[in-house]
Amino acid sequence: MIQLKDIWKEYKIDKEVTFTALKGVNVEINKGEFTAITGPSGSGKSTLMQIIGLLDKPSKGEVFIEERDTSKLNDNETSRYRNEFIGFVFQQFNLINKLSVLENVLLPTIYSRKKLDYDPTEKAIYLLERFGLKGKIKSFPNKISGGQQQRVAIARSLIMSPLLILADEPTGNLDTKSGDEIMKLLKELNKEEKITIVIVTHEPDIASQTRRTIRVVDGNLQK
Amino acid sequence: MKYLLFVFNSSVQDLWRNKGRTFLTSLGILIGVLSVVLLTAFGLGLKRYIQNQFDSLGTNLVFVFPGQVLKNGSFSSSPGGLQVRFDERDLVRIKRIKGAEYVVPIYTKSGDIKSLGKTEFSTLFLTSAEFFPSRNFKAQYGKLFTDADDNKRAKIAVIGPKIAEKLFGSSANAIGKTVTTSNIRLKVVGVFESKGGGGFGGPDLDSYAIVPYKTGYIINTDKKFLQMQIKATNDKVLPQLKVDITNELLKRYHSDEFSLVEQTEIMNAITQIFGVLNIGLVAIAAISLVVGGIGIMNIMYVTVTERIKEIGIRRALGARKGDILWQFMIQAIILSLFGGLMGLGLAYGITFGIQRVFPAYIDTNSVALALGVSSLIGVVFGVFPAKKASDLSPIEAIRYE
Repeated sequence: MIQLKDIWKEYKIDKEVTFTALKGVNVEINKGEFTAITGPSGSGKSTLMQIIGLLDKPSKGEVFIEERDTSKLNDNETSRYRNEFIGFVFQQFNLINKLSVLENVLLPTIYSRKKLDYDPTEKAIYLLERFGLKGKIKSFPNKISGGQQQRVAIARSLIMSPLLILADEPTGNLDTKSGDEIMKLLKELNKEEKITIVIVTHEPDIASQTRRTIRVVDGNLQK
Repeated sequence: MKYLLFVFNSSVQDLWRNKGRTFLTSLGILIGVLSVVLLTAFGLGLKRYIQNQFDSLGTNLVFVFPGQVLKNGSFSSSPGGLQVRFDERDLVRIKRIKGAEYVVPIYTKSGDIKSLGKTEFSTLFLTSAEFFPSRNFKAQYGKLFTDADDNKRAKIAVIGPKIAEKLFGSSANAIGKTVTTSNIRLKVVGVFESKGGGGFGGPDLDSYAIVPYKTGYIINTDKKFLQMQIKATNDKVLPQLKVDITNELLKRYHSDEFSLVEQTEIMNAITQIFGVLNIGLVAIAAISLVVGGIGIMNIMYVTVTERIKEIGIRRALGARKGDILWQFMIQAIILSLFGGLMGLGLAYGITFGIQRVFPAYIDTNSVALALGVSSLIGVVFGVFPAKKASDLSPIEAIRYE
C-alpha cells in the first residue's frame, strides 16, 4: 500500500554542515497493519513519519502510495493526497481552538475536492459519540481534557476514511490513564475496522502493544 | 461554494473576535475613503453651485472684457491691455448691430455703504436700465430705474435684499431711505428679488447697489466701462452677433485689447479649473487610502505570524496553498470593505449635515471609486501576508510556537 524506496533526507544546518536524518531507508506498510516506528530521539523516526505523511519531501528516494510515485506530485496534488489518504494524530493534538469540536472534526472535509458518499456531519457526530464525546460536540478544544482532545483528533483523522492513520507520539502529552484509553481506541480501530495505523513513539511500552515494530537508529532501520 | 462560505464565515468570526483590532485596522481605510468621498463631494458641489450661478445669469449673453481673458479655453494668466475701457460710443455702435437685444455697460466699485449710522460693505454697480431685463432682475419692493432716470442722472439706487436687510432690517423698510456710498447720496427706489449666491467666491449679487451709470459719472469721471454685456435676441443669431461685435470693435481697438466671452466659454473654463482641482484633492486624499492599506498589511502580517501553527495544521489536513491564500485575502478584503463602507456612511452623514450651508454633492462615481479602491487595497495589501502564510512549509509551520 505504501512503499518507501531508498529514502534519504538531509538538512542543511549551516552553509557547510549538513545533517543526514535518513540514510537510504526502505519501508513497506501494508493494508491493515498496526505498526510502531520507534527509536531514540534524533534517530530520524519523526522525519520518517513526515515523509510517509507527505508533510516533507525526501532529498532522495521515492514514496509510493497505492503504487503511485508521490515525488512527482505538485503541491496541490500532495495536499489532496494528505487530505484523502492520510489521517494525522499529533502529540500536541493540534486542534484549532477557535473552532468547535465538531468543526474541527469536519475541517478536512472543507478542504476536500472529492465528492463524499456520506454526510460528513452525520459521520462526525457518529465518531464523536462513539468516542464518548456526545456532550462535547459544541465545546471548544481548550475547554475539554487532553484525553478528550486526542479523541477529537482521532475522529478528525478518520473523517475522510483515509488509507492510513499516522500518530506521532499520540500518548506523549497524556497521563497514563488517558494514554491507555487512546491506545485502546487505536487498537480497537485497527482490529475491528481494519484501519491501518502507524504510531511513532519512543516508549517501548507503547511499541510493544503494536503488531509490528520498525526501529530507527541513526537514520537507518535496525533489523 | 460551501468552501467559500466557510472561509467567509470563519473570517467574519475571526474579525468579530478581535473587534477592537478590526475597528482600528479599518480606521485607516475609513479615513481614506471618507476624505476621498468628502473632498470630491465638496469639489463637485462647488462646481455645480457655480454652474447654477451661471445658469441664473440668463442665456444668450456675450461679455466684452478688456484684454485677453480666455486663452485656449482657460483663463489667461496675464490678460494684457487691461487699461482699455469701453465708452458710450461703443455702446451706440454695438446697439446698431442686428441681433443685439440689450447692450449694457458695467462699471463696479466696491466700498462701504452707509445709512442711519450703519455701515455695510457693498458693491456699487453702475449700469443701464436694460441690465434688469437682460439678467431677469425683478423688483420685489418699489421699482427698478428706467432710461429716463438714467438720462436725468437721478440719484437713486436699486439695492439687493441682503444689503437692504442689513441696513434697514427688511427689504420693505428700505424703500424711500437714503444711502451714502462713495460720497454720493442715493435714494433707494427699489429692492430686487433675491438672486442667491455669494459667500463662496461668486458675486454676492444680493448685496449690490445698482445705480444708473450716468449718475455714476460723478465717480467714474472718465466715463468708461469695465465691461459690456450684450444679450442676443435668440441663440441662433449669437455666432453672427459675435462676429459683428468683433468687427465693430476692431475698428477702434487692436484684436488683443478686448475679448468676447460667451457664457458657455466661461463655464468651460470653470469646469476645467474644477477638473484639475478635483484631481488634486483626490490625489491628496488617496495618500491616506494607501496609508490605510499599509495598516491593513501590517495587521495581516501580525495575524499570519500569530497563526502559523494553525496554518500548518490546516495544510497537514489537506488545505492547498490557494486555500490559505484565500483565507487571508478574504479577511483583508472584508477589513478594507468594512472600513470603506463605514467611511462612505460617514461621508454621507457629513454631506447631508453640511448641505444646508455648503452645496456638497456625492456622485455615484466617487462612491464606486472609493469602494473599488478600498477593496483593491484589501487585495493588494492582503496578498503579501497571505502569500507568506501559504508558502510556509506545513511541517515547519506546525512546529511553530
